[in-house]
Amino acid sequence: MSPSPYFTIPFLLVVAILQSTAAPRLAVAGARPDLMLTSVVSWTLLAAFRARELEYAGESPGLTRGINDGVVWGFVGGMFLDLLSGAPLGASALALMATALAVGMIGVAVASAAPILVMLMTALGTLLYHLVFLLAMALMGRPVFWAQDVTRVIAPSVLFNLMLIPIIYGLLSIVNRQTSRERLQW
Amino acid sequence: MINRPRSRSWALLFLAIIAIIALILHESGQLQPIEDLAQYIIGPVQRSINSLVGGTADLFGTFRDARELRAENQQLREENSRLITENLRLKEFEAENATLRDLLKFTRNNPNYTVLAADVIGRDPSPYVSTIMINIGENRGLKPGMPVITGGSALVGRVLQVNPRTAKVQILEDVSSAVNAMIQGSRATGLVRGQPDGTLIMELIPQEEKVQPGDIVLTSGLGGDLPRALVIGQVTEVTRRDIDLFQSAALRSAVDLNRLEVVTVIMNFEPLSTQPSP
Repeated sequence: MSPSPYFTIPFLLVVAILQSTAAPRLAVAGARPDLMLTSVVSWTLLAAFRARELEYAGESPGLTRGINDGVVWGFVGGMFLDLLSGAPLGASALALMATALAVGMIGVAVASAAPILVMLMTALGTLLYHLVFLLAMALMGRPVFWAQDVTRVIAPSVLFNLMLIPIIYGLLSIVNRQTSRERLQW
Repeated sequence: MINRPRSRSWALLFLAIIAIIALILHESGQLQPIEDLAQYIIGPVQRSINSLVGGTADLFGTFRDARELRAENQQLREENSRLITENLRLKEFEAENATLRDLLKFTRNNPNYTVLAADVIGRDPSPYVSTIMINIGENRGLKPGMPVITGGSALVGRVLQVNPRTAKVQILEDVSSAVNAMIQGSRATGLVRGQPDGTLIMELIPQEEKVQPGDIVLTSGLGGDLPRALVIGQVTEVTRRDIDLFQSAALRSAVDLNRLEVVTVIMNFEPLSTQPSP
């Protein structure tokens, strides 16, 4: 179920670099596509659905494993983002981990890969990620303009990510199927 | 029978005499009208025949040289492709050259400063923070707080964090950025802050100072964090209310901070505070 670190780390590093090079060029007003967030949400859901399937089959490594995978992705991806950002180190990691935890818990509880659930989780994940990130910034003494950030950044980001998630989720589904197959072969 | 050779001889002699006369008349120019008339009639025919013969010759030549022409065509296509690539490269060099000319101009105008050019290699992944990543760091002697400029003397921001081979630069539009500034004409001072929507506002301008759209805003040098007279931007709108202690002005940045490709770091300016605003 968990892909090799030889895939996870380079993949998340590339996503972080794309987030700092390509995504700002696609910005509309204050919003930009959250490549890392959509990757973490997608992988968390895929891992959670897989964990539930294995649970039904009686060979689950534990439902928490499905959530843990997403949280680990959130931590690694968030740290890469923080290293490239002027934001306090750990702010993105914390926000992505909180998002993965929430999305993963709902994912294992619902255990349905319906597209509507993926879309709902993306919208919820985007809101949660931005709110936790801004909270971390405020706690570190950085100026936060809550009202403006909600209208200028968060709301457009939800729309951006809803357009992006089918592509990211589709690509990671292929990787997820491949790694699951490898695991069975072993 | 006997007379035929003699008559032919006379005819040849006659023709020879005509030729000689024609030669003499031609040399004297008296035959020119006749020559012009003849040329008028013959010229078009000559051109038609010439093109026909030439075309036929070309046709044969085309068959003969088809392979050579294909090879030449291929060679020209490659040459064209190479020239297009070279042209694009030259345009890049032209842009780089303009940047370096600005740098040279700044160096000439400010001989006391040591400057170093750097490429922008990334922007902040977070929409709430405005920093850029440049491709020089500790390896080239960068330190936090160093001023970063572009386009001659337009302020970009300050070095925020230095890594071994890269550095993060906090740009003016970051919400944490605050720069002491003055209006070029009136010398009125204030504080330029970045706003969440990426614009710049000059605050704390005394009420009695006259500020109007179009005024140029420069760094004041107050506080010792930045050199004096670096260009920040231009006033676009002034907000002045009688009940307030200060007036404020919206600014348009001197450079498009989102499209920066090359910046310049002033290396030998010693800021009093080594850290930009948190």
